[in-house]
Amino acid sequence: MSILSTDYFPSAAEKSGILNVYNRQVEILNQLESEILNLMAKLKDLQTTRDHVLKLANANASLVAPIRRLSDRLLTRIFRYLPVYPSFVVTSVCKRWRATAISTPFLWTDIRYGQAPLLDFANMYRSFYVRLDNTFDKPLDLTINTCHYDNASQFHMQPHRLLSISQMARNQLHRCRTLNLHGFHCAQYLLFSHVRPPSLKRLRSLCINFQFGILEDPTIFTLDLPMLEEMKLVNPGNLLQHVQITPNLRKLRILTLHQCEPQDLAILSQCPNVVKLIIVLAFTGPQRSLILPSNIPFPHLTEFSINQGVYQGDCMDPQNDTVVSDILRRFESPRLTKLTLSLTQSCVKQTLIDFPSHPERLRTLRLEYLSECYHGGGDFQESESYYNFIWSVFPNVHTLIISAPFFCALSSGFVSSLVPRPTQQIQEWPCPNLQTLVLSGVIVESEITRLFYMRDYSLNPIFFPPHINAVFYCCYAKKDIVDALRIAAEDLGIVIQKLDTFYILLDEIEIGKNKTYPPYLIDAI
Amino acid sequence: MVILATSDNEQFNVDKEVAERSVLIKNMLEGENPIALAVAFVYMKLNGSFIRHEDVGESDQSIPLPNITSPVLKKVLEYCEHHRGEPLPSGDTDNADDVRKRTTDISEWDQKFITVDQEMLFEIILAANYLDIKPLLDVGCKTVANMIKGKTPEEIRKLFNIVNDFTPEEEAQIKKENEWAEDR
Repeated sequence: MSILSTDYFPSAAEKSGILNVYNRQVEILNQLESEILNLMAKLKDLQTTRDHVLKLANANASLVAPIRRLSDRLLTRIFRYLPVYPSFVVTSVCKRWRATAISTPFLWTDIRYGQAPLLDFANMYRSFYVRLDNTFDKPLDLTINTCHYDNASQFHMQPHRLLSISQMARNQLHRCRTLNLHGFHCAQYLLFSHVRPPSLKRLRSLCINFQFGILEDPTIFTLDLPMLEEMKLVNPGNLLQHVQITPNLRKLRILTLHQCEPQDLAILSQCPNVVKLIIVLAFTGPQRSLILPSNIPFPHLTEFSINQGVYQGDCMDPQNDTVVSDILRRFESPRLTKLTLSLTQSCVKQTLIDFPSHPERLRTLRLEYLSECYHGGGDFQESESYYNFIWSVFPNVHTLIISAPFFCALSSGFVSSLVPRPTQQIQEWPCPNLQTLVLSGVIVESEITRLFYMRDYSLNPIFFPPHINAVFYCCYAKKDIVDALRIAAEDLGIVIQKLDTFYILLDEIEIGKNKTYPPYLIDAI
Repeated sequence: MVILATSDNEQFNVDKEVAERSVLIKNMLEGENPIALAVAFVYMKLNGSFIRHEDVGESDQSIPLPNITSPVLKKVLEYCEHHRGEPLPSGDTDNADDVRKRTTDISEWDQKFITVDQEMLFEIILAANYLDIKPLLDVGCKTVANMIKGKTPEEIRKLFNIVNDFTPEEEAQIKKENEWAEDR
């Protein structure tokens, strides 16, 4: 062994002995190699057997899998809760799921084309076709979105693609329940034809969003829409001259954008049965002009929202106050119960003074103060007497939502007007019918002290008189403030028996058992 | 009080108001569900007892629930007890089969209640379906839908122990069909 790996040169006798050893070792190696091959073959056999048994075991486990006991009807019921596109996922699970999903038309009736750019057109087309095919004759919710095309040369290179989709969709218009058209070209291609579309008898909701430009041929929208209940129009331009409003129309939302002028809002005088109206005047630009009817009668309107939006760049358009006033001056809405004002501070004030004509009917008031400068700053201080004025004008408001933009503190004047002084009695509360209060904005420490604690940090129960059953504080607060609120919330849980709900959102401090947020609260965040 | 008898021969004394969260039991008690009555009749007869039409609803007669075991009924009754007094959904909403349900939100209590193993979850769904307790059925279906959401077909198979019974050719075809959806 000692001569191994050395330069030693063996003699002839030694060489013979070494060769014998070597031959013996080769023999052993061959034996080992053979054994390894045998073992590998055996391992392979064992693995094959294992895979087979595993497959059988899985199949057996699957036979008794709890989900297997569900009937097709129950499976369909589960599918009903899935979002739109997993419809394709469930068809890929197993044959039974696939058959169940394909034979369930309502899983496929929400058809969307062009939600995102750069998709493979062939696949998108096939998806569109498969969906359409699976819907049988059920009502459709059809969305065609070409906004990304409008901004890219992609569309101009391949208009035939949109045309082919539109042709396919056009034949289904008669069974559309909702129709959402986003982007200029989609309507052109979908509706422009030598053969006028048939009466859209099933259409309940129509959304038209033209981001850019005025339609060359708005007459394509001279459609028969006898059952239309809801209409959303973004940048309608000259389109509204051609839309036939039916008495069934209950909800109308108009959003004016960019510099597509003039915006003809004469339609507002033709919607006598509208109960919900939302007007957003955003980015109207220096050349804006609205064509308004001399009076805007809404005898059945119960919910109205007007939003001033923001001007080009970062700032509010100072002239928008005049536009808002122009609209509101023509308004007649004697049944209004819910009012949302997303306006500048001065415009809110003026609107509350002038509008509505029957303030005692108002139950829900939402004031969103828009900053003169969109990206922050701004002083939202209002005097205590101003808020006292609000309480006197709207005595029956039961839900009040007040929000300020980021980086702006809520008005301490508001708090002053709401929180009685220590000497006041609860019955002297300025808003006796208020039940739900939502405050949204940045909380400043002094307000917290005022709201929840007296100066010596003992709890201030006066703020929560028995008739208020819900308080929501939607805040972006610093950690120490959140901690203070958390302590306050814990204290309130013990002290305020009548308070069912108390939320400080974003940090999820809560009191009360109802954790389902109401829709207006979600909106307020 | 109403006595409910499970498939494993356990009996539960339940407030009528709680038991009537089940439309099936409510109809049985009001004698308006002849099919359920017939099933109950056969079941009772097979078990050596006898039930007459007019007996149903009387406190000393039990209502047989041959499809439900006692642990499952116990869970179902826990749900009914918690939601006692709440308005029952109208039948019309369930018939709108062509309407996709948009929300899968589940209240906090219901979420805790339905945090059970898969075996129990599907038993609850089957029991809610059999007993016709729509809100509970919805909670169960929403829970399963939430389990499915965001998963790939393979993950769904693994989760529910489902065998992939597509042939390789079928699988290739389906994959091609779904390419667009998978890209999203």
